[in-house]
Amino acid sequence: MEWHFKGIARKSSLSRTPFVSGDRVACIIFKDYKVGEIGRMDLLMHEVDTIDLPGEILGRWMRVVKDPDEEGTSVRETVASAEECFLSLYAHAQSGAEDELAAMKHLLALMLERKRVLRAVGKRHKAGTQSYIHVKTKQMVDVPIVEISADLMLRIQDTLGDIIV
Amino acid sequence: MNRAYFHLTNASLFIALLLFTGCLNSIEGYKNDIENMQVPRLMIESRGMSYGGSGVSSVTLPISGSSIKLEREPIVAEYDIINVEMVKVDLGLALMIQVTDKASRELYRRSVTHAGSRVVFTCNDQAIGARRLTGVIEDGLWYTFVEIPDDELGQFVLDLKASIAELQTHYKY
Repeated sequence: MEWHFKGIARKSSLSRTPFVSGDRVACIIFKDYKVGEIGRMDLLMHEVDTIDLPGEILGRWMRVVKDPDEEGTSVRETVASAEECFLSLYAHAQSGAEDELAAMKHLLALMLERKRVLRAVGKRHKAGTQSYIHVKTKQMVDVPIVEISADLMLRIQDTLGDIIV
Repeated sequence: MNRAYFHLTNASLFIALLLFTGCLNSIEGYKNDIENMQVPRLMIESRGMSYGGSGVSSVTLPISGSSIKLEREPIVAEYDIINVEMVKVDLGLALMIQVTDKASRELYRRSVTHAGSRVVFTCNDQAIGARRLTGVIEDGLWYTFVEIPDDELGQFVLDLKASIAELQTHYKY
C-alpha cells in the first residue's frame, strides 16, 4: 500500500491559490487508481464540486486556515476534524481500497475512543471487528481491526497529519 | 457558669491538641513507612507535529543521555500500575510493569496509534528507561530496560513495590 505524502497544504491543490487566514478548506483523501496510491487534496470549499478526482473519495473533513503567527489548531478542532473524517469513511461505498479504509477506520477509532467521541461496545476485541457507538449521534459502526506497522503509521500520519490526535 | 465554660473550653482545646498531635504523629509515621517513595508512570514520546497543541516536555535518560520529548500527560499514571517485577531476558535485567484493565486498553490503543514512538518509564518525574512501540500490546504488560546499575536494581524494585502498595491503598481516590 502506497501513501502519497502531502502534509498540510498552503495552497489549493486545484487552482494553486494560496490559502489565507480564515479560508475554509476541504481536505479530501482518495485512492488514485492510476498510480495505486492514496492521495490528499486540499481545496477551497467552492472548488470541491468542480474537482475531477483521479479516484474515489475515501474520506474528507474541513479545516479553517490559521494565521501562521497564531498558535496551532486547538485539540477540540483537531478532534472535530478527526471525527468528521472518521464518519465520512462510512459515507462512501468504495471498492478497491478496503485495506486503506480499514487501516484509517481502525486508527481513527482508537484515537476517538481515547477522546471519548466513540465508545467501544461489548467485549474489547483484539482481532476481527470491534463495534463502536458514536456518542453524539448514537450511530453504531463496525471497525475492522487490522495490523498497522510503524512504517504504515508514519505514512498515514504524513497523509492525515493535521487530524492525528 | 463562666468558670464551667472556661473549664469546658480548656478541656476542648486540650483534646483538640491531643488529637492534632496524634494526627501529626500518624502523618510522620506514615511518611516514614516509605523512605524511598517512587512514583512510577509511563509516558509517551511526542509526535514530530504539534497540531493537537497539548504541549510537550523533554526528559533525558541518565546513562545513555538520550533526550526525548514527551506528551505532558502520562499514558499510564501511578494509580494504574499494579505490579512491577524484575525479569531476566537475553539482553540482561529488565522490568515487567503490570497495569490495570483501564490502562491496559490505553496501552493497547497507543501501541496502535503511536507505533514507532517510544514509551518512557519515569519515577518521580525522572526518566529511567525507554522502549519503542514495535507491536500491539494486548496483555497489559510492559517490559522495559532501565538505566539503573544491576546491583541497585533489586532495591529499586523493592522500593517500587512498596510505593505501589502505598499508592494503591492510601493515596487512591
